Amino acid sequence: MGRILVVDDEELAREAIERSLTEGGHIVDLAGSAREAIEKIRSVPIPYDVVITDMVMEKEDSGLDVLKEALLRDVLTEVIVLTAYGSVANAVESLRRGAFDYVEKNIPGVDVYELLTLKVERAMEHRLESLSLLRRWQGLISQTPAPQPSDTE
Amino acid sequence: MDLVKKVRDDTELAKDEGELALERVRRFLGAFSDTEVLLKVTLEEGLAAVQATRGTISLIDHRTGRLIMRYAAGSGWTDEKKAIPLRITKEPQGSISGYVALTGQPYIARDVTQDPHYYPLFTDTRSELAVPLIGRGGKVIGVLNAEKEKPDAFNEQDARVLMAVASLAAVALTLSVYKERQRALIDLGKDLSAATDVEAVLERVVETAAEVLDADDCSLFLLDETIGRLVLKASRGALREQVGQATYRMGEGLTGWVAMTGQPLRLNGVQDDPRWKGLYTEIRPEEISAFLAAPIKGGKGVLGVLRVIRKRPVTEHALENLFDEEDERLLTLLASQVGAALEREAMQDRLFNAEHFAAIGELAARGAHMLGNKVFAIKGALKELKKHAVESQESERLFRAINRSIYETELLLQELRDFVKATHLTLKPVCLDELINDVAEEQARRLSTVRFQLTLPQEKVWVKGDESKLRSVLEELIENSRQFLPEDGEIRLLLEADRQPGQGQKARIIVEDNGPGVPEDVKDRIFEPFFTSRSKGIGLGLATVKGIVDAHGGTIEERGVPGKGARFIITLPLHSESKEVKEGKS
Repeated sequence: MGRILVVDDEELAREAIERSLTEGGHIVDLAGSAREAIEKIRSVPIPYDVVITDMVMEKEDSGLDVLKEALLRDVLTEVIVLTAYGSVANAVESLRRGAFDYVEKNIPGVDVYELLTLKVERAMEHRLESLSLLRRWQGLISQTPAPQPSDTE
Repeated sequence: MDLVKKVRDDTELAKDEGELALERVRRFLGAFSDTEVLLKVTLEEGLAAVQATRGTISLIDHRTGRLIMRYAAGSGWTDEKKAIPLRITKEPQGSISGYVALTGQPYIARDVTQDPHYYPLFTDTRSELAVPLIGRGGKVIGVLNAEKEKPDAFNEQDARVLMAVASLAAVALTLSVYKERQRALIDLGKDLSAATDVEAVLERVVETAAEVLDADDCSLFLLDETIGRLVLKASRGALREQVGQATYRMGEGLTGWVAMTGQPLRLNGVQDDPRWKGLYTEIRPEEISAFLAAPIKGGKGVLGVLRVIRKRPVTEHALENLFDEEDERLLTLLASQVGAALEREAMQDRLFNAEHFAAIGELAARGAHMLGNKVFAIKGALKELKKHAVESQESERLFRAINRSIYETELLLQELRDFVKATHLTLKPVCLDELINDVAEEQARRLSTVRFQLTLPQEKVWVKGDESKLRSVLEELIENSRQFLPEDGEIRLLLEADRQPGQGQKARIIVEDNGPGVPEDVKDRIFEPFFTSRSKGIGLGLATVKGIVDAHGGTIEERGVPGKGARFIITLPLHSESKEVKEGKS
């Protein structure tokens, strides 16, 4: 289904997310730090559909760096930010900067892995909608005589 | 000392030598900073100036309403004679000095044997001259008298000269009172600024005020915002036993009036005043001759009241022992010093608490984050492990136990996070009565065995606050009560508003129960982070509650009686634009 990058400096967490997403039929790539994630985002032949990244890794707001890089590579990549009682301000900031959603890692009594799988499904749908919308626009633009490159910023 | 003779010359001759005379007066006054020396020299110089052979200088004791002899000069004095207190009266044989003290006019007895006022202390005295010492405000403070063995020894001129000497002494005495007051104020100022033990300092304030104002008693009340009452903090005499117990409502009695209006109050007797309640008096009300009270002010309003009283002198004539404007200014000054010191104290307290809180908060945040990550990872691994595990009752039980522990760990982490976030507020106008009503209904549904009792005011009560955080404050307090409640548990929620203008306008929320209450020895500690006597949680519940209330600029205290139930009192500043908000909403 989707090609997903999971970024978390906690190996067990990375693996667990990978497992639950692989079961859902996704192709999962892993990165243990923001630096590694950014390299992968830049070098991967086809951009990831979804990037799931922890917020606090090397820095308090490492997740924001990953988010930025993912959107630079492909503005329609959906980014889900994970936080473990980190700063809510950073999570909100990530939404402001174009993240699809943020998920708290520790919600008492909730299987967050399942929740994450659901969020990924929704992110995939959102991406597909955006892509088809973009194609329709591109079709419209290609029919008009003088196409103007649009600034995505 | 021929200075006095020169003064005499000056009064006789030269009005244009005013400047020179003034200079002499200054030197004369400067020479006698010691009251005792001053009195002695005044007497001796006075007697020399009018060529008298015997004389006394006496000062009025306002407590007894008698003249007390301070110095006597000439022959024939015995300790017994010196110790005779003279009544201030116009009655026959009440003494010439006593008569002068009453009238405030100089008096010449050309032949004492024929004089109605003469009190026969000496058989050989024939003439007497007595002049009053007049202090500030024209008040007689004492009498200087001169005697001689021959009749008709004093004339009008002698009277003028003795008056001049007496008035110099009176000015010097008044100055020394000022100096004494100044010194007391400076000393007290030092005490206040170095204060570590507030209670001890308040006692000092009361002592100093009584001393410098020559008052019979002094009491200090401070406003306890939690209960909205003035509470007696220090007193000298009979009221001492009621420190911490005697209270006035705002506006109640003279003291309450001073606190409510922020104005000083000076009265001649108290019983006739319509504001007077006589709830707590230092001496019997009918004995109170003068009452003076000043508000202790802080930046946000009145913090308390400092009051002094004087006893009615036990004397047959109407000698008044009242406070004057000068006294009022002095008491106001003292009160303002106290106000500034209290404010500083409160600020340091807040600062320390805030720093303390922030440091713990940061630690908690980091800890919560690290643990949260690990728990998340464990949950992930556990989920996988379950798939690989052999199905058996025992493994099923263990998985349940592990999941349960993880769940509880996450709850603890949540508690930590709430504590960290206590001070991050999103402020909006919040209608407290609606909020409380809402919470009470919800909690009543949740806790079916607990009876809820709700007392809300008629009018809406608005504060500016974070609604969800204020809600969690109430929920936490209710949860806290519930943990300790007996079978027939009852939780009472009460809301009231102090809307008195001039005061910090406050909403007061009281959450009380009929549980065991908070033991006296832990009362101070229940709001500390990680303090707990419950089986669940890590002891951040009440610390979080306090953090939230503090961040709102409010206060929270536990004022229950151990054994009878807990009683949490929260105050929050009222939202001033509540009216606009109401109108805007509807």
